[in-house]
Amino acid sequence: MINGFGLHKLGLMALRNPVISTILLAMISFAAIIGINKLEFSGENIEILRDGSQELADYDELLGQFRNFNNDAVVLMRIDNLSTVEGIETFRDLNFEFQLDERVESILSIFSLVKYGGPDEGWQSALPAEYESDAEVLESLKQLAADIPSSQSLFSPNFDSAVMVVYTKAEATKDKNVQETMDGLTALAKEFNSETVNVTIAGQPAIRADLIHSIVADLLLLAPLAFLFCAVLAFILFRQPIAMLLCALPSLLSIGWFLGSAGLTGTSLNFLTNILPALLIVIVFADTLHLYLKWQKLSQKNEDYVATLKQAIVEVGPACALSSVTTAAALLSLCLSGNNGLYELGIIGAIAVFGGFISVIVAFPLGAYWASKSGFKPKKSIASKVGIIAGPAMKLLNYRKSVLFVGLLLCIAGLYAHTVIDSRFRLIDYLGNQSEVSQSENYIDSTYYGSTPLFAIVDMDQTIALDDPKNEGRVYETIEAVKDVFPAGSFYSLADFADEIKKAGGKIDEKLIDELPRFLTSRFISEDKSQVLVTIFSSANLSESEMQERLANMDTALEKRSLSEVVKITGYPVLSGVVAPRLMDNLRISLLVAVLLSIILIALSAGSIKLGLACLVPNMLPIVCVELILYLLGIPLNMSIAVALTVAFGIAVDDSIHMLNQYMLNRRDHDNLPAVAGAVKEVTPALFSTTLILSGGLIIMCFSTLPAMAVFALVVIMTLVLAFLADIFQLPAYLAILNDKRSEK
Amino acid sequence: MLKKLLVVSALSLGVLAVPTTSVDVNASPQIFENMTGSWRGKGKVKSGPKAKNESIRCKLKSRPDGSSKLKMTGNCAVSGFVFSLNGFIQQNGGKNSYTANMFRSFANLKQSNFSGKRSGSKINFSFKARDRIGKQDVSARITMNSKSAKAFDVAISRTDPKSGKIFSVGTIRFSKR
Repeated sequence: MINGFGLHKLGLMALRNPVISTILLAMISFAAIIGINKLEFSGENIEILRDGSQELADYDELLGQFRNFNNDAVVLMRIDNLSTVEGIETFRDLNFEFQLDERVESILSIFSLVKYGGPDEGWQSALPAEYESDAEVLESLKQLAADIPSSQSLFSPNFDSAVMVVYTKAEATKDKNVQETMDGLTALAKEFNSETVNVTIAGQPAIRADLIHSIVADLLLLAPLAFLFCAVLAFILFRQPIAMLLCALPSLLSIGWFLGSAGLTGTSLNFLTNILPALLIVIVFADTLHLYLKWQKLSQKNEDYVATLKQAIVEVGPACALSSVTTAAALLSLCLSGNNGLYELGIIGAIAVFGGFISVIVAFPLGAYWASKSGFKPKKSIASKVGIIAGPAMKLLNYRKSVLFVGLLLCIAGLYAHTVIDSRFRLIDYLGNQSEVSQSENYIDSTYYGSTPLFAIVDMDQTIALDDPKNEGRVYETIEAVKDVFPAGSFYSLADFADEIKKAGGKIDEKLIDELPRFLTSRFISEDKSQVLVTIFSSANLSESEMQERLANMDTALEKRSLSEVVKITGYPVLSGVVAPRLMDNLRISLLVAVLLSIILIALSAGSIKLGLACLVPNMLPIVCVELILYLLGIPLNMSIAVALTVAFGIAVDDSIHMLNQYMLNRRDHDNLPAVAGAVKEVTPALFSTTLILSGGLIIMCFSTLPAMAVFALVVIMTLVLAFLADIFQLPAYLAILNDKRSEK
Repeated sequence: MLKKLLVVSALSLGVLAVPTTSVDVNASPQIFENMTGSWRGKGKVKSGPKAKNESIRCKLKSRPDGSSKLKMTGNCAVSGFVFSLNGFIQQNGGKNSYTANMFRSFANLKQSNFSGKRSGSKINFSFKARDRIGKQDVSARITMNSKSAKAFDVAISRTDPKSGKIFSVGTIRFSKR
């Protein structure tokens, strides 16, 4: 029998003191309820990418030396015709409304651009204070595009839209405030909506607010629905309301404990840890079903239900413990990615899985104990009737070498897919399907140069004055390099203002900059004036190859001008285009580590390297087959899929453990082949029931507004179904072949 | 954009004053009552006698703080720049004189408060400020005209540091929301 590291004894201990254990359980659950009320959510998506790399260090330098550009929202106004008096005045009104909002620090739009009008007129808005005719509007916009090329990144060439960058106050965009802030700003924007005008908001604060909205929606709506769906399926299988409640209780408790602990420890739920409630439903329901089905089976022959309960814990508990350990190990393997977000998911997930195991091994027996004391008798369920599915699997044992060969071929094909499948990270993949933010991001990416800027940080020589020709030359040379790669009008810098001042015979110097508010100068120059910024409008949704190409071209352009040592390119597009794909490569490695770790754990637990190896191919198959399917469909690997595969492996291996456990039990009294056949016959109904219920529950999660969550659920379902097939067809073949010699003895 | 601020700071010298009005010595409570509420302001202002007009918009909330004091919160926006109007207007001991401090920090005022006198439905505030661009002292005048319980105007004028002549910065018309 599988060795569950003695963890199953917790259940036996609870049954020895059911009253005290129940009170303890109730107290823990009560504390969890208090914690749930303190639960917070985070839309953070940059910290998640943090991996200690140079790219992150450069990005931190940008935020530290200049300003937190992650607080910048982009307001998009789509309008029939901006080049009319009505159109431009509507946009002007919108600008003022946002400028005057208490959550906004300042804005950048066509109305905030200035021109120097000479000594008498001084500095003034590039656009007039009022218009008298549509022709005047059209002319002034054309003139603006000619005079200030960067203005072309603020209105579309065919005048059907305009954007403004809204620099929100830091306090307004903290996690606890960002949703309220964006709701307020969105309400402000909606006041302008009409038949001809549509105003939406994109950019980091909007993305974060949208993520939080979807996380909360999933938690409040989909997770309970998934849970109920699992419970209903359990009722259909068992036809006993009490049986359904008993099977649902551990899941419910484990989710409550997880959320409560997160609330009490101040751990915010983010778009990665958001998968954990669904994950808990899946694994806790599965283990509870195994325990319940064993108890039910034993109770058909023995009416001392407490005794059968204890026996069920002894027989299935170790397998439940081991399956939790392997799932936790799979989650912990995510820590190897060297990435903050996944490290957090790995650690929190492993703890949550352990909590889930406690709820299975303690709460279920206690529930069953009190139920049986109240007269509940577990009846034979229709689950046992699905044992018919075991028939073909048992027949295939006669062709085990062919089955094994087919499995190996599939595994090789899957491993090939594993190594060649593309990876991609797009922030919009993590936004709701119908999200206005997502649609606005797409529109801005296609109509403008993008909503997420890239930055060229130019180091100034501090031994000379800021306005020394050598320093000035560095900035202008950098701009020339930017022009080599990015379209004209897609960038702006201090040079734009310096040029305007030069027209009047003046020049920008340190004294002049000191006289201006920091919130304004922080867009262009560091506080100590050691670095100057060139801001390039770009997208956070470029593919890895597109981004790499642009960065390589930029490197070449800088190198050509001997600027490589003094100019750094950074920004969110670098993180999403370079850091995130690298992260996904690391995830692939952590997946292989999870596989090896689980096989080692199984081998240790079974006390047999051979049995551990028997589980290798059947457990790799579901993962690599999913990758093969994705590869054949041309779907690139994204972070959700990579995480899902790792987590799904941890879950899928559970089936093997239960099969192996039963096989080892059978081996006490039978030869090898009958022991394998007996295990298939015995465990298949439980595996089928759990796969059915878990897939059913996860199907609900496919309706999540968070595409990442839906993809996660879909990948896990595919893996679970493939794991079920591999465990009833492949694993028995391996057990039969690898242990043939023992059988002969 | 940077230099625009310079324009704006000059403009701000005028816009600062969004305050009250009264008719006779005892009329302040009525004026302050009229002034209470949420206001939106709109107008055009300019930085120099020959400069072009700039659009300006303001949001203002005012509430009484006792019978002779009005507290104000809000801000005005010119082009890409926003400044605060937070502060108060106070009638000094039932006399025909007023003290205000609403835009001290932004206006670069040399004194913490400035004073005004009422004439009919208008209160005229005069003060000295430091021009952010030229680093010269300038004289500014803000006239508040309480037209009704639903509207008031703020007219701003100041001296041109170059010529020393007074010019009209502009007028902001406030209406109750």
